Amino acid sequence: MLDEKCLELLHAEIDGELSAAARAELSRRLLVSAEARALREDLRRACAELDRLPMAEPPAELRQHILGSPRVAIARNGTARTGGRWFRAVPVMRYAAVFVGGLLVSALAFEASRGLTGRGVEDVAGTMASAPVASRMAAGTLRVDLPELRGTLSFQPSARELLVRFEPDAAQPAGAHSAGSTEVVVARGEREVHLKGFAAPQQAEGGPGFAVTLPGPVAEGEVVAVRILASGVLVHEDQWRAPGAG
Amino acid sequence: MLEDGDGILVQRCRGGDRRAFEALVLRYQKPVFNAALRMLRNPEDARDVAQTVFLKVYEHLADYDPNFRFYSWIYRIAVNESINMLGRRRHHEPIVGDEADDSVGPEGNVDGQQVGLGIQRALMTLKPDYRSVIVLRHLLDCSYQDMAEILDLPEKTVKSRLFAARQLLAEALRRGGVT
Repeated sequence: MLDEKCLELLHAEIDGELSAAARAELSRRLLVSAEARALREDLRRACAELDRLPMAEPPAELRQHILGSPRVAIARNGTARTGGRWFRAVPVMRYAAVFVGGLLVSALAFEASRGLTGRGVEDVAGTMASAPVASRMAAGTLRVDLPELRGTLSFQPSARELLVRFEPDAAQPAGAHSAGSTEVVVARGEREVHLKGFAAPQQAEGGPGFAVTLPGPVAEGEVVAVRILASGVLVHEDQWRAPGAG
Repeated sequence: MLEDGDGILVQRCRGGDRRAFEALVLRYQKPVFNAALRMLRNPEDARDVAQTVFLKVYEHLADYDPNFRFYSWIYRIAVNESINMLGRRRHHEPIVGDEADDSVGPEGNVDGQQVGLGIQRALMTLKPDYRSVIVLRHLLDCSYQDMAEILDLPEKTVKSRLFAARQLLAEALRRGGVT
């Protein structure tokens, strides 16, 4: 049975941490102990194999999964732990949030009921036929306010298609990864379109900004997915819901 | 071990700079994934653990103590998450022993692959505490001081654990005909 000192010397040799005196001591012990010599060989071989093990490449999608995780997006959009903790810790702020939330829900419910039951003069004038669902819908907007890109995304449904327009703000975030390398991806079901090249302002038909149409009538409550990519990496996800469905 | 710039990246990350977090992911995804892979053997589990590690890092950056090295902190999370995953596996899966996933790592040619698999099998015979010191020392190239910080143990304990782990591994390799 090898003593603790001998084991320590053997491992120190493997770790390359032997002083000259310790090396001499180890040599002396190896000369007289076959057990020490055998263990030394085993350890050296095992450690050599371990050190030769190659590092595997992580799966390509790992980085995207991490950066595209809603947990990263949520923390980034202003509800980082510290801020959230402070907010929740102050009772007045909690009650204020509940009150404001209640007002918002009431307002949204009111607007939704108007969309379903009410109809403007322009919808019924000149025809007794029911107007297409999309014609009753108001345009909606989503605000994009990210470190990579700022602007307003608007949705204009019609009876035949959905017009999506992105208007970048005049002042974009500075830096190599700003507007020029970002793109807005809008998806309706299987079909998706990419809006990009925001570094060079351009005019779209009917107004400023970048516009694209997605064909097909827009159903009530239809959800359109929006993703913002920066240099090909997902940095934000959002959605626009067509009004009129519960 | 490269550490330059971690502190600055963490600081920028805390200020909401997403690019800084992306840089940390790029820098550490490989060691973290490999540590989990050697701890768990299963690439799918290793990927899940690596993902969890980075999400925890992101969510807990406010708790990170800059007096510690960043890699110590992230490796500690990686080791703990891997051990947690092993615990979950024990509860949810039948013990399947050596026929578990052998598609580990890029062990090049056939001989290299056999040795790599032999080492991975031998590693899996060790208790997680022993496996983690082997992984930290031989895969991630951590010093005893790093390991003590990562495992929150005295350096002396780390040394004796590593010595025992190496000897057990050497025995397992000999039994498996790898060395």
